[in-house]
Amino acid sequence: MSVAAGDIDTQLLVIGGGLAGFAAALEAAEAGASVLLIEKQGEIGGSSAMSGGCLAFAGTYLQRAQGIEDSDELLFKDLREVGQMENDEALVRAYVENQLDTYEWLCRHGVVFLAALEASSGQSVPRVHNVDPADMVRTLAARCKESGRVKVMLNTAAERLLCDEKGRVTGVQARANGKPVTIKAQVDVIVASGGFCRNAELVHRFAPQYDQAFFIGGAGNVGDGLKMAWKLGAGLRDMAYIKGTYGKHPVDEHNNHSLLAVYKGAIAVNQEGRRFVDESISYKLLGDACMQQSDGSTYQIFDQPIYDSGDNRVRILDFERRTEEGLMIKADSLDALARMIEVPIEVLRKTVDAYNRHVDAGHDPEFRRKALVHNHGALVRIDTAPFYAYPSTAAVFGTYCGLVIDADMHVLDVFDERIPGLLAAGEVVGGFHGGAYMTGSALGKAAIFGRIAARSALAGERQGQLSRTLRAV
Amino acid sequence: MRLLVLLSGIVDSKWPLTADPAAAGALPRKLSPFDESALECALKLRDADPSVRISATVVAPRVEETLLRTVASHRLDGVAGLEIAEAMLWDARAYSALLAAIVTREAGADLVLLGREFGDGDDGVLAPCLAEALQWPLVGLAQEIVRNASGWDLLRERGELEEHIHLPGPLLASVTNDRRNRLRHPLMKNVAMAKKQAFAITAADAATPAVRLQGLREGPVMRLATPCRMIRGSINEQAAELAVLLRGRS
Repeated sequence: MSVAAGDIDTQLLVIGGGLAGFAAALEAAEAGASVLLIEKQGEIGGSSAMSGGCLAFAGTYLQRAQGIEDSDELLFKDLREVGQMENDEALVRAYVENQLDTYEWLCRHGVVFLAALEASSGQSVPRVHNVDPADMVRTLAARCKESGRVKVMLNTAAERLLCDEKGRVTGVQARANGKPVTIKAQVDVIVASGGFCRNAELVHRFAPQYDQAFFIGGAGNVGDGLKMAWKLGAGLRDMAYIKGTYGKHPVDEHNNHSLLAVYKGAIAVNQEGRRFVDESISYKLLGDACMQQSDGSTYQIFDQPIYDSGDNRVRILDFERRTEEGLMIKADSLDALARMIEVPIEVLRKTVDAYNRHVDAGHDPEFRRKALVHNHGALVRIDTAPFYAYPSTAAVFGTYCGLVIDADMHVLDVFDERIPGLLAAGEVVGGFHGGAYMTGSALGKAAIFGRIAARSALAGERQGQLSRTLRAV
Repeated sequence: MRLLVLLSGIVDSKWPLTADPAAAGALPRKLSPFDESALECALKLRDADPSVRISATVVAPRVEETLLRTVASHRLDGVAGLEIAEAMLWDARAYSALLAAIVTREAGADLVLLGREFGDGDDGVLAPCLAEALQWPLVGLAQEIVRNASGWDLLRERGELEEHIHLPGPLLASVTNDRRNRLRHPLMKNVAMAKKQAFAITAADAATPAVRLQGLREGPVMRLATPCRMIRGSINEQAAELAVLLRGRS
């Protein structure tokens, strides 16, 4: 890697210092490449570090140790189902085929997974593997540094992709600490710059129904990677499926994580005291349903046994912490709870009574709920005081849509042809999630697709070297 | 039953402080932790008895609608703002006379709540002055208030002991913050309603303060030079050592 005044050369350029970027950089470095990773913000981590720290893997040691039977096939089926078959089968297959190896790769590099495993959105078995997400990115960054092959430039924002006369992406025009700089990549450019949930205008263009929602994500997630590739003719996918995640407290400004008591047996009711959805579906779809209720605000209603089934090692199931934060509403009776959340007492009582009858009968004729979450867990009655309400709305944590890519992470143009020299990974890509979202598949995708992108870039480089050698011969 | 909560607010620490009197008065305010506790005590009384009516008046040199909306988002029966002269904060007698007039206007209030250190620059005399002006009993540092058949039960902690005070109404209580009275989050529907609400903000015209604000000046910046250490010994010994330490800084 050489540095001239305002001009930098590198072998592989990675844009974005979140999980996808560092997974790509480390994979490439360990294959012998020199990598420059640029991050627009003053620190690494991006949205990855702010996330709930859940990764969806199947067939891991942790699962086996807890007697959980999971497999590539079941993961594939769940991913396709939760994505409502709108996702790209080839990308789902790429995730599944590389997930277990990536889990072990993360472990080998020092990422620590908690013993707690939970079933969450879109999962037929418990496969939420929990980490401290900021620590995970820092760990990979440390391994990158140790490799001696990765240079990280903070406060460096890519502004435009540069192409040669044949249309091959050769680098970026960037701004480093406010000064313009040209970065040239000998191999490829991997865009891992995240989504655009912090760009209200861009979100409005694709999902105006979320204008009033919370937007929580890395400050740098304004869609600059997406727009740079878009300018070169990149195709876009899944833009119609931008959704908020259900379970964010609607007025608290301190805890930005969702709480999913519904996946432990709670029901969701609106301000009128009525259920409005099958609570076992993906929290993205729950988010959509929630935004259609009065003030976009609802309540998760549950009782003490459901409260006790929470897991304070898992952020989205940490009921105790939310109680300590003063976010949980608790009452000795359903009537008292109804008064506190100002829903009609009679209506809430009837709603809970009807739900309990459905549980007993094993059939929910109103919303056809069959499980706690996706296909996992038997429904439970809500009848043991004290009772709880968790005010809940939808928050857009990530956009989970964007650039069309193939299974090797090459960015495709609007005619589904590769844009030479350009790959993408992480939240900036579309096509993987489809209509909804499985818990842990965004962070999982960041790590898995980041590694695949690096391997594809280097495979292309080796192929190029071979071609050049053959031509010389 | 009618409750009146007097709220003052504090300068929002998210904004940089300034020594310019005009700019200082314009700094955005938010509820203090003690304001919040006083309001939560009132809400708890309403939880126990839905017939309770709660009014709140925000009294400050400058009252912003944003702060009034924050208060109104708890679905109170009345929320108003009263702007006072900046110098009023340094004249507890004039200030308490003004507050007594507000209480008198709210004819029939059974309980008046205010947060500890309400708008008095932390000298703690405003609540006693107000009690004197009203000729009402005062309980300071209250943490929990419950209605009983003959009046009020108030709780306050003294070290490891709990003190329970039983008094008939009407009553003035100054509330300190406590895990039991942490202000709840408002319901979203009430936040939405408060956004549409209109508020009356009036300027105080009576009880001209006896003092006049000449200006504000930045205090000297104290620089810590002593390494951190625990101050040990009895309370008196600790106080004496702390006094020596502070004198050394002046």
